[in-house]
Amino acid sequence: MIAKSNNVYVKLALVAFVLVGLALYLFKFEPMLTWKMSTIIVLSLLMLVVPIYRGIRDARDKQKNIPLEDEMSRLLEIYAGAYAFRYSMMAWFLIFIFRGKFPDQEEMLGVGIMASAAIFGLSWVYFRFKGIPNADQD
Amino acid sequence: MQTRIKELRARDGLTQQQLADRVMVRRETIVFLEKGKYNPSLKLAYEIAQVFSLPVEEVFLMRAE
Repeated sequence: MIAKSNNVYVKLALVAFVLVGLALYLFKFEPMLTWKMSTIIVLSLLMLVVPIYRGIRDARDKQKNIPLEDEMSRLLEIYAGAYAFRYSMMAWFLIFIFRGKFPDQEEMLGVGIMASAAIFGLSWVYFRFKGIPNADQD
Repeated sequence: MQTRIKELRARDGLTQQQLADRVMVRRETIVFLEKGKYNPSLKLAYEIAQVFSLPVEEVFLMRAE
């Protein structure tokens, strides 16, 4: 039986699998859709899925009288956000350096936004596994 | 920092979810606390200690460096 704490990872993995699968499908089997359009569709879906998931979770917490963001969840997002900001800046700098490699500016922006979102997601998962550093340690 | 949360939960017959509900946090927070992956705020530490009717320093132990 899957432990309850692993459910979050299973759900995240499923969502990622579906989104990546959808992107590949659109890219491969919908010749009318360019890579750029596929990226926009997947990003739009992601921007729908995340608030819906959070909405459901918040509603469940509200029923249990848990504050909408308990202290660890809040700290987790703060840490993930801080790391994501730092590494996103590096990603955007790299994109800037290699801007000549992109066929057009819109694609460049799409890649940058995707990269920033992915960096935030990865940072969040990293801290979720590793734990949150104490205030007195790096 | 080490905690005796797991031991004290077992003593009082509380599940992680029940303890989480009592101190109004998510169960994941209790999981992280028990694994030593998260240091709670003073408020949360105090509330957890209150659930076990113990002073904070008997629930959360400072590990000697």
